[in-house]
Amino acid sequence: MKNFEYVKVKTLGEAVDLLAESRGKAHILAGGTDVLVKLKQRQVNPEILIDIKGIPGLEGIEYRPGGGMRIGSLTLIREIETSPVTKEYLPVLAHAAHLLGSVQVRHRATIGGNLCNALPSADMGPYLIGMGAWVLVVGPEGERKLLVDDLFADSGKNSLGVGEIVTAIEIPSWSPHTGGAYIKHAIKNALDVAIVCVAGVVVTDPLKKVFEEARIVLGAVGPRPIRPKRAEEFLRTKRIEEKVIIRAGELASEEARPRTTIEYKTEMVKVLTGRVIREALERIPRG
Amino acid sequence: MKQQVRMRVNGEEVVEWVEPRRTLLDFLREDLNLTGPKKGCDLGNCGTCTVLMDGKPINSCLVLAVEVEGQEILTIEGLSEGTKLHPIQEAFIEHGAVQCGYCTPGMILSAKALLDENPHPTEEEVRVAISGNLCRCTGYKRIVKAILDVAKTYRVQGCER
Repeated sequence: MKNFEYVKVKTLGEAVDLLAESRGKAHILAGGTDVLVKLKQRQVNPEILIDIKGIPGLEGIEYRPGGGMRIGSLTLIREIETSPVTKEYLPVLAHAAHLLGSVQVRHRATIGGNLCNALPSADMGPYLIGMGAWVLVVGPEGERKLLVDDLFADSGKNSLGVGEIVTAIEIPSWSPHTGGAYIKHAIKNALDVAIVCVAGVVVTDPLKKVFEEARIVLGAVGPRPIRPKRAEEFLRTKRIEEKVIIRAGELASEEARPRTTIEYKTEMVKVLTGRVIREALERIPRG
Repeated sequence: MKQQVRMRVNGEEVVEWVEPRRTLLDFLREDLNLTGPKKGCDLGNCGTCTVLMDGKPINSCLVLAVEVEGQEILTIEGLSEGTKLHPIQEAFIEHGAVQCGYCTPGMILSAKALLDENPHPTEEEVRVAISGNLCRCTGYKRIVKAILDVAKTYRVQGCER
């Protein structure tokens, strides 16, 4: 890797100023599990590497009764995997965290880093997109909020402007008749990247007879995570029955845009979408 | 341009000047002559460079030495007390859990991190804990057995050893 200047900033303001001043010649370092690889492979060659781990207040998981959750951008994937708070209130995200990388990687990688790295296979992406989560961003123009869905621009590219930094992820609260699921299809159980991954969030009527809303998110089958809108619209107001679920899988697979092993991935989207919907339905709390 | 970094390695204070691009792995191996952590893939995929940073297993190839400022590193060299091996090391020998030995330092440190946090793990928990450490010789059976065996009598010691 090429040499660079390493600066550990202590405040967000310092980081934003430094990023904006260096006009694209600086790169942010959080957990480094992706950045170090990119540096070694010379995919990024910054003159300045800005370590943001010294900025206070960017980590932690907070549950706000009735108001959803807030997760600081520097929160470790390991923390999301093991925290009693995520296990209780966001078990699907804790499960997705468990499937990311290895124990070693999870002890360094951060949720903000995984999202900003913007790979279509990023494990933190699909479920958060399905939940309608937001990222809070600070930049030279002040603060703004955008959907996680809109953070993913293209494969490996996020939509942030120069000088912008993600500070937290906000997950809204949902009706009690909501269930979610995330399935990662990979060859190995650890240290592997998804061949296809699918997340689902379904809302039903209190008697669990009808889909009121469904969100499906497909990962690793396009340059960025995909919401198969026709499958989602098809499910709305439909009775909960097997043939409906199978049809939703077929519709979802028509909207996947894989570039490699196209037939296989398309078929897997069909199968996994069905599984995700069934699993999400099972997760809806009883009573 | 070199920067000064200060950390504790195997219980000893270390102050060195390093280039920012120096990984912790290269720093340990080249500058401190601690060759226990191995350089396998150098991309965070094989786990043979595993060391404990403040007690947690990490890939030292994916961390810059300058990032470790003020923190505590444990490599396999710091695990034994003189010639007295750590119980996990003893168990690996006992069970023949070492073949070529290349993955062993990382494997043992991952096991230590697990047992310090969870002294009585299930087999599944052991397998998950070492899933970031690849062994290409033997398969993992004897390694898992060694860890489960030492867990029967494992006592968490001070965080330095």
